[in-house]
Amino acid sequence: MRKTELVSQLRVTMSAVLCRLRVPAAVLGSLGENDCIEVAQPADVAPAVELKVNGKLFARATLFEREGSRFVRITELVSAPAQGGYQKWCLVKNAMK
Amino acid sequence: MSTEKVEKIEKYDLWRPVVRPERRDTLESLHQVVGVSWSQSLLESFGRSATITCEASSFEPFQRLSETEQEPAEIAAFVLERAQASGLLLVSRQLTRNLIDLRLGEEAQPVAQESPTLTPLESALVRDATTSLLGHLSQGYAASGLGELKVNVRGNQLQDLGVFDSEDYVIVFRYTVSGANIAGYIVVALSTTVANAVVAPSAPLKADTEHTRLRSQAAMLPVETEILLGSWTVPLQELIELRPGDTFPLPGADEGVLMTGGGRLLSLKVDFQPRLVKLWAQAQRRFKNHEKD
Repeated sequence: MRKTELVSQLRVTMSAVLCRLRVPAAVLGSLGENDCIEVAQPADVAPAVELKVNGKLFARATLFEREGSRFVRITELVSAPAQGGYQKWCLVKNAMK
Repeated sequence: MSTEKVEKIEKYDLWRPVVRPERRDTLESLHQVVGVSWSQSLLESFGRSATITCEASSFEPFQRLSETEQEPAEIAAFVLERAQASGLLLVSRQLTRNLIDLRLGEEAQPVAQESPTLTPLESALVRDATTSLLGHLSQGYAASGLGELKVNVRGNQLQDLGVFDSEDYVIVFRYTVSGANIAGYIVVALSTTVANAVVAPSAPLKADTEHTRLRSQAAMLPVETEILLGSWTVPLQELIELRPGDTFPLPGADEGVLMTGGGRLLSLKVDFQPRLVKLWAQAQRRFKNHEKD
């Protein structure tokens, strides 16, 4: 097997990140079952995700659902990685506890 | 035009009670700790990192306090039976309105000049919020030997409560609230007899207070997190061939993971709704050892 073939067979880890949040340590520590973090999303736009390869931003994509499964569609390959900002969130504690 | 400063000279009342400085310090430090505990409770209940700070304490006749606080507010008067003292907690109108907004899951809004009266639901939410504040205050008092407080009357105007006579001297602690668009203030007033009952903390207790304060400040520090929908491995060749418009499925139908510092902290159920995503914390998979991905 040639060297280039060997390299192309190497596997890398890809991950889909929905959003980034800044959360106070106390909130993280107090998260219990069925507590809900609500993250604001723009109206009438498909949710966006960032695709990362080995932790580095590689592409941006939109999320859609088909037959109960989630899919992503790549919208942009990122050459100069620059992560997006932090999103607004709100915690709703589980009232049944 | 004269720019000369006119110093206000206050009459010294001969019947003004005397409070020893060390007892006043003890009371101040007790109320500062209560402020920290209120901030933490705000954070845990609403996820908002606002700070409630005890800015000042003063020693004044109740008449003066009534003149300063004429605007309607949420007020609860209480007694400290063990200390044989009375007191009150006043939550300003602005803060009351902001707490309602937060409880209803909205962003805190500034209060309009002509604010409408509270609906029964809003009144219940305010009652709930003040009860929580009183609970923390009661814990602080109990820890300082004053005993637990018992609420005996609630109202919206100081003069209507009939807790103090206008010439009674009270010790007043003023708290400001800042951060997370929340504004307003809280006032705690106690009869001067409380100064005789408060127990000065021993040195280790003082150190504990400092430790608690530091711990609370650390708890407010923001942690950067990511919501991961899934991760998988692909051959490098496939990755190189990816182009805009390509689609592929994600593993896990409605699962997600809360990541901090590259490690998994908590598994989530992800629910997409119009205009927002709900992330439900799952109890069964809390990653104890902060597994690396």
